[in-house]
Amino acid sequence: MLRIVDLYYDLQFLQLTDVEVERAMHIFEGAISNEINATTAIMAVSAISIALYKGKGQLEEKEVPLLGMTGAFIFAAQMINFPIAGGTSGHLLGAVLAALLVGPLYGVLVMALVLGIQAVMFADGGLTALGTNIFNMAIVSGFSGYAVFWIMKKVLPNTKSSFLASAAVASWISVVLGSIACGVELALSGKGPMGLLVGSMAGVHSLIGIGEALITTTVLSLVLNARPDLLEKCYPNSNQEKDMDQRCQLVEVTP
Amino acid sequence: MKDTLFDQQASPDNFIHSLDPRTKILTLFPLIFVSTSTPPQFLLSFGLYSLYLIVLTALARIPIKLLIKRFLMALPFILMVSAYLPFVEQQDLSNPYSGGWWLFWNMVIKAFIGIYAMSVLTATTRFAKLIQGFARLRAPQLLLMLLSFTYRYMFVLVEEAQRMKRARDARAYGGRWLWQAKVIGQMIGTLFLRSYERGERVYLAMCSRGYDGTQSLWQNSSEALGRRDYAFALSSISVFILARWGVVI
Amino acid sequence: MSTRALEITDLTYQYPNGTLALDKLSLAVEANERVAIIGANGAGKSTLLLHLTGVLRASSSSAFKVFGTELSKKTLREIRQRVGMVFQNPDDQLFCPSVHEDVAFGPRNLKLPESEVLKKVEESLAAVGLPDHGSRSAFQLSLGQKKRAAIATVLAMDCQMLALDEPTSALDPRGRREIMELLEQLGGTQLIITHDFALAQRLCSRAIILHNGRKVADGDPANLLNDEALLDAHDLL
Ligand SMILES: Nc1ncnc2c1ncn2[C@@H]1O[C@H](COP(=O)(O)OP(=O)(O)O)[C@@H](O)[C@H]1O
Ligand SMILES: [Mg+2]
Repeated sequence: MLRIVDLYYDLQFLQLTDVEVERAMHIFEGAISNEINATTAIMAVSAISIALYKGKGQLEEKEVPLLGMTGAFIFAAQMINFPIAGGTSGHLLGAVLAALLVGPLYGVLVMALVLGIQAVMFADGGLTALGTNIFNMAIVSGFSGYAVFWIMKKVLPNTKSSFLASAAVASWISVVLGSIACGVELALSGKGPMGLLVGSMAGVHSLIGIGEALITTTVLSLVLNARPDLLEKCYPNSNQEKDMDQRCQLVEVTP
Repeated sequence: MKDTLFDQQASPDNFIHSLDPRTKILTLFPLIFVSTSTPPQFLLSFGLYSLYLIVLTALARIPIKLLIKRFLMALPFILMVSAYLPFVEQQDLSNPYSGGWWLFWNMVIKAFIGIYAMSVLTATTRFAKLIQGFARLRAPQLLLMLLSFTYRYMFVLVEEAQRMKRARDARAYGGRWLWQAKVIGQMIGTLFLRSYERGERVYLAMCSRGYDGTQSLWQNSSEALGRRDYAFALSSISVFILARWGVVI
Repeated sequence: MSTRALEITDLTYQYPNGTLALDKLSLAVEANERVAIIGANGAGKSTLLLHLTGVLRASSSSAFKVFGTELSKKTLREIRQRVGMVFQNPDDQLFCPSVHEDVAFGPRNLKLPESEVLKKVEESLAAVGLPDHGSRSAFQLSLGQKKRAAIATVLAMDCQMLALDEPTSALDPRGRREIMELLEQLGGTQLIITHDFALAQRLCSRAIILHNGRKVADGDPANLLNDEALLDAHDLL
C-alpha cells in the first residue's frame, strides 16, 4: 500500500496528476453507449478525411512539418496546469487557438492528432471513445468556437482589441459547448440524469473556460507582436507591412 | 514525462515484442472493442480478458510498476464520471443487472481493460514500428506523417515547457489568479513561437536532404506476416470469441 | 587544375525584414580542405551555411559554385546531394520516429533502391559510432549522440562536402572530443562553423573570420586566433 502512495507522490511531482477537472472530458471505455460512439466516430473520420483530402492537394510541403509541430505544441501546452478553485486545476484545451493558428479545418485535424496519440500512446481516453473525444474536443469545440469568432469579427470593428475579445469569447464558448456535448452524451448513455450531468459539466467548465479565454488571448497577443504573419488568415491587419519587419519568414526560396 | 514513455521499453528479442506491429494492432484493438461490447454481468468474460492480458504481460516482461502508474493516473478521471453513479441511479426492478453499482462496475472494468490492452501494445511496440504497422494497414500517408511529427516533437516541447515552468517557479511565482493566468499564457505563447520557428528549421533540414513534399518518412514495402504472427493472432482471437460468446453465466 | 569545392564571389543576402546578413562575401575552399568559419553571434555564419544547400538564395547577382557547378534551380538537387548540411540543433535535423528512418530519409529522397538505402544507413551509423542505435528514437539519445546521428544523416547521402554549424557547442568534454575525432577521421572537404578555437587550431588548415556579413580575415588558424587585437576588434575576445 505504501508503495502505491509513493507512486502517487512521484506523479504529483511530475505534475501529471493534479486533479485536473478538464480531463473529465477525456472519456474512457464503457462510459458512452456504442451507438453514440459509432456516430461520433463516423463524424470524426469524416472531418479528418476531409481535412486530409483537402490537405493532399493544398498543403504546401512546408506545412506538413508545421502542422505536426502545432500538434506537438498543443500537447505540450495541455501539460501546463492552472489552478481552479479548491485544489483542482485545469489546462488549456486549445481548440480555438489551433483553429486560429492553422484554420478551422486543420485545427480539427491537429486536435485529432493530439487526442489520437493520447489515446494510443498514453492510454489517456478510450479507443472506442476516441470518436466521441474527437467530436467533443476537436469538432464541437473547434467549429463552434471558430463560428463564434467569425461572427463576432464580422460585427465588431477590425481592431486588435476586438480581435482579442472575439477570441476570448470564442474560447470560453468552445470549452463550455464541448463539455455540454460530453454531458449530453453521458446522459443519453444512461449515466445519470441529463440536468445533473449537463449542469455540472457546464458549471465546472464555465470556470475553466475563463482560464482558457485568458490564456488564449495572451498567447494571441504575444504572437501578434512577434509574428503577425502567422495570424494573417484570421486577423488581416492593415499595418501588416510594418509589422512584418519584426521577424520574417525564414524560407525565401525553395523550388 | 519519460516515466510514462512506454514504447521505449520495447526490446527486440522477446517473442511478443518481435511480432509484426500489424499483428498486435489487429489483436489488441479488437480486444478493446469486444470487451466494451460485453454486458457488465459477464464477470467470467472480463476475468478471461484480464487473464489474457496478464499472460501477455508475463510473456513480454512488461514492468508492473509502469502499468500501475498508468492505472493510477487514469483512476481519478474514471471515478469522476462514474463514482456518483451508485448514488443517483436506481435499480430497474425488471432487470437485476441495472442500477448504479452495475453501471459503475461496467465503466471501471472496461476502462481497465482498455488501458491495459493499449499499454501492452505500446509497451511492446516502438512508435516507429507502430506507424509502420499502420502504414502497412494502408492508413493515409499524410496522417501518419503528421502523427510522426507530432509524436517526435511532443517530448522536445514538453521538456521545454518544463524548463520554463521551473524557471518561473524559481522566481517566486504565485499571487493573484489573474496574474498567474497571464504568466501561463505568456509561457504558452513563447512555447508556440519557439515551436513554430523550430518547425521552420526542421523544414529547412528536410529540404537540405532533398525533401520535395512527395516522400514519406518510412519504407513502404510490405512484408508478409510470418507463421508466428498468424498463430498468435488466431489463438488470441479464439480466446476473445470464447471468452465473449462461449461463456455461460 | 582540380575544381574547387566551393567558390563564392560577392554573395550578398538581405533577410526580408531588411537585415543585411551577408555583404559582398567572397571565399573559396579547395577540395579536401578543412576550413573553420569563425565569427561573433549574428555575424552571418548560419546564413552563409543556408546558402550552401540553396535553402536561401543570394539577393544580388553573384557567382556561387559548388564543385564547379553553378547553383541554380536546375542544379539544386545535385548540389543538395553534394553538400551535407548539419544543423546546429540536432533536434531540428532528427525529425523521424527513429534514428534509422532519419538516416534513411536522404537516400530515399535520392530514390535509391531500398537495399542500397539499408546499406547506406548501416555504414553511416557505424561511421559515427552508433551502429546499434538505429531503432532508437532521437529523444532517447544524449546530446553528443544526437549530434553524431545528425552527421550520419548527411553521410548517408554520400556528400562530398560537409557543412557543420557549431558541431561542438553545448557538449561535455567527452562529447566534444568524440565529435572532433569523428571529423578528423571522416576527412574530405569540411566547412565548420565554430566558436571552439581549440577545434579550429587542431583540425583546420585555414580559418575565416566573419564580421557583420563580411570576411575580415582568412589564414592560418594558429596565427589568426592568437592575434588578440584582431579578435578583439571583431567581438571574439
Ligand atoms: N530569419 C531571420 N529573419 C531576419 N533576420 C535574421 C534571420 N535569421 C538571422 N537574421 C539576422 O541575420 C544576421 C546574421 O544571422 P546568423 O547568420 O544567424 O548569424 P550567426 O549564425 O553568425 O550567429 C543577424 O543579424 C540576425 O539577426
Ligand atoms: Mg548561428
